[in-house]
This record gives sequence, structure tokens and C-alpha cells, in this order.
Amino acid sequence: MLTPIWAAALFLGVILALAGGRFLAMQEARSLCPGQNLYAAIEAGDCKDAKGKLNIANKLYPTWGAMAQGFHRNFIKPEKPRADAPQHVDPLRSAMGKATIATLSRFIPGVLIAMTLAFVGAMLWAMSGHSRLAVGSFNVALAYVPAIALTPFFFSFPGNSFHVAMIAFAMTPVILRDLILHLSNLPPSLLIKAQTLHANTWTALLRVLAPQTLPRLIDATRVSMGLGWILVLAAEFVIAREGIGLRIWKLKRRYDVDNLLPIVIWVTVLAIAIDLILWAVRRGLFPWARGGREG
Amino acid sequence: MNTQSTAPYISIDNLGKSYGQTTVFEGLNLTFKESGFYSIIGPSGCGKSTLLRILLGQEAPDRGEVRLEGTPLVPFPSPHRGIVFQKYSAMPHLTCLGNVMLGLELRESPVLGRLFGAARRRARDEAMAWLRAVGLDHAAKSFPAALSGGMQQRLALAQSMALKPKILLMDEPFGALDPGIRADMHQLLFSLWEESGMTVLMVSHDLPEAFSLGTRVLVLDKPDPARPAQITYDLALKPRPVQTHLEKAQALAPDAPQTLS
Repeated sequence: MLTPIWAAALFLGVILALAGGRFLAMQEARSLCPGQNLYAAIEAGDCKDAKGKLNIANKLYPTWGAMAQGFHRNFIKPEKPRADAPQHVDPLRSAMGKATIATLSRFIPGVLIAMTLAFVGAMLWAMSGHSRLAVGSFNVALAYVPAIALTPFFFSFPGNSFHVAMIAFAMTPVILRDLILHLSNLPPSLLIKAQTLHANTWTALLRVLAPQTLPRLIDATRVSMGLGWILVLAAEFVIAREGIGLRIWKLKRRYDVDNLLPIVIWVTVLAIAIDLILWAVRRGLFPWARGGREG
Repeated sequence: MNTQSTAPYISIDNLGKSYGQTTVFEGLNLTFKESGFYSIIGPSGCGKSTLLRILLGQEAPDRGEVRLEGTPLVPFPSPHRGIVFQKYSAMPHLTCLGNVMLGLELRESPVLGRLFGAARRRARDEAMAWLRAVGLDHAAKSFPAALSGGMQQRLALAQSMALKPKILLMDEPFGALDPGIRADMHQLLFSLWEESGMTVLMVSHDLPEAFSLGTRVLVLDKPDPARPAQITYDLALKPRPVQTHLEKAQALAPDAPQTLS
């Protein structure tokens, strides 16, 4: 139910952005070359400024045909076509197929580690008694540390663990912050009730706090996953042999928007898919927890 | 079944409690006998909920002492004292059955908080019996959020009663229910109380409720914010004839869904 609506909204957004951008660029070019037939004037060698504008507009707002070719180049055709079968189709071995596998192999472990650390942190926070405020404040400060600026420290992590560590470092305090908010907003009567039902500190954590925090863990992860995506792409800008971020890094300088836009749409669709998976997991595992669905 | 002893069961000696400049109690003395049903009423802010929180152990008295059977109360909530709040008494993440089983499981399993095998089956049977007693056996698999307000309070009662606490404390337990359901709940609570011989302390806003259920009604008042709360009336009521039993509560159950939904 949700996916087609999101996809349609995204598609509409792309059309409006492209058409609107192209329209504004044309208006600007015409204003630089008033009172003449724009194309005839450019053909005749006049209106140099307007020509420059139009060239950029042609790059920035590619035609659907150019984007379809870009899609085919990046997503369908193998990166190294076989000499005997140049028309061979293999999306998994396409440039973006390989890049997607590389990026997800960094993104998914990073998010899972962040979820685990944040959950353990929330449980420790719940048990930390009088130092709750200090622990919570420290975490807020940690949440605002720009992980990408600590790149040199993360260089000591070999291979993919560089990206994984950076995602986990950035996402954990953000998720934890939301879990702490959730825990401090639970009705105090629940813990009092648990104490009258023979719960000790440990079993209250195990049977009351932990299960009531898990659905929120998924919500918080979904909300902070945008940060994770930015981080994984940025980390791949910094260093990577393969990955979506690396592809974007290579393409952005040459105004290769006909290649870039299909990638932008692909990353968005991928992110929505992971978001929906988490939503389905939440609904399946925690039928008692209402909410978790917006829009 | 109700063994009325003459020695005080709960005794409050010289109780004092202040919040900053506001003194809620000063030199309050009260005793309660075992197996009574005590209603505490009074206007908002008169300290009746504070008294309940002190008895529960959620708050410690500043001065004086509260004793249960001669032993000072531990200053934190414990299984001796069951509690039914106006709302949020049941765990939202557990089914009705899970909610009633929770106390039985936590009592016997202090490390894992769970029971397995035969012990688990025993706990489940016991919990089911309590759900039947409050007329919720048909909703055993439902989560509290799917229950009506009245059903949630039945669940909270079953959850507390399953551990057979010495005292059952209730903080306006039926305040959020509409009058018809409230009457059903009164009947259920009264029969459970008679059956169990438990000591019940109920804070209420509702005069008829306090008088129809209680064997003793305490009226608290605190007209002057600068002065501590006073007991303006302490009325012992005639013990009511035995009118309901557990069987009657069970007979009540089949039409519970129609009247309570």
C-alpha cells in the first residue's frame, strides 16, 4: 500500500524539479538575450552568456532519454562487458549493482551495531540511578560530534570497518538519545507496579523496560537512518574501492546528471525499502505497540 | 474466612510529610484492622493520594513510622502491597494472561524472570483461574490496549490479587469508568474482597462508592494550605451481609462482554 504511493510521489517530485529547473533556466537565458529568437541568435554566434546558461541547463536537466541511457549504463549493463557478448545484461555485475552490494555491506552492519549499542546503552542508562543525568548529557554531546571530521581516527579501522565504525559512531548516540527520552517518559506507575509483582532491578529491566523499549528502538533507527546514509556515502567519498558514494564522487564533477539522477532515485528507493522492512518487523514482533506508521 | 483480629494490622504513628514549605501530614495517627475495607475520601489536594503513596512505599515519610503487623514498612514498593492505579496498571506489552502470569513468574524466577515447563503450566493455570474470576478468560490473548477501561481495571485487579497481597491499595480505581460499569466493578471487587479476606484501602472521589463498599470511611480535609491535613470524619460502618461470592462473580462473567464492551 505504501510503496506505490511513495514511488509515485517521488516520481512526481523528479518531474516537477526537472521541468521547473529547465523552465527557469530557459527564462534566464531568454532574459540575457532579449527580443531575439534564442536558438537562431546562438547559432549566429551572438548571446554567448545565454549559450553558457543553456549548456548548463542541458547538463543539469537531462532528457528522459539521456537518463534512461544512464540507467542502462549504470544498472543493467555489466561493468566489464564480455567481448563475445557485448549486449549481455547482468544487473548484479553492473557498476551500480556492485556498488550497491559494497555499500549495503557497510551500511547494514553499521546500522545493526548502532542499534545494539544504543539498546545496551539505554538499559545501562536505566540502571545508572543517580548518574542518569550525567550519562544522558554526555550522550547528547556525543550525538553532536561530527563523525566525518574524525576521519583520521577511523583510518585505523581496516577495510570496510572504517565505514561501519563511522556509521555506528554517528548513529548510536542519536538512537540512544531517543531511547532515553522514551524511557524517561514511561509512566512511573509501570515500574512501581512491577515492584509490587516481585520484580527486582534486573527482572524489571528484563521483563518490563527492555520489551517496552524495543519497538521504540526500531522507530528511532528508522528516523536516524538518513544520517546513516549520509555517513556511508561521505565515508565512501573519503575512501573506497567500490560503493555508491564513490560512484557519486566520480560523477559529480563532470555534471553527469543523466548518470547521477538514476542513482539518486535508486538510493532513495533502497532507503525506503529498508525503512519498510523495519516497519514490518516492528509490526510483526510487537503487535501491542501502536503507531510506527506516519502519513 | 475473614479473621477479624483486635490488634492493629497497619499502624501509622505520628506521621509527618512535607513537600518544601507545604506540610501535608503532621502527627497523624491511624490504625487499620486486618481484613477491613477502608475508603479514604476527601477533596483534591487533601493528601489522600500521598497517604496511599506512603503506604505503598513509593514515598518515605519524613517523620513517624508506618508498621504492617508490627514491622516497619520497607520504604519501596514490595509484593506485600498490591496496587491498582486509575490507569496504566497493566503492562502494555503483555497479553491479559501474560500480565497475570508476570507476578507469578517473577516471584519464582528472580534471575530469568520466566518460568518453563511444568512450572509455567502451573502459573498459566493459576493465572487463567484469576482471569475467569474477573470475567476476562475470553480475552486472555488480548493486549490491554484492546480492552475497554472497565476490562483494564478487571485485569489490574486480577494481576494484583493473583499474588495474594496482604494489603490491596487502590488509587481511584474506578474514577475513569462510566456509572454502569462502575457498579459492576463494585460488585466484583466486593465479592473478591469477601472471598479473600484481604485488607483493602481505596482512595476515592466518589462518596456513594466509598460508603457502599467500605467497612470504614475516612474523610480527609486540608482546608488551609499552610496547615497539615486533618481527619474530619472517621466512620465505622455496619458490616454488610454476605451478598456475593466468587461463584456470583463467575456467573457475572458471561454477560461481561455485552455490558462492558
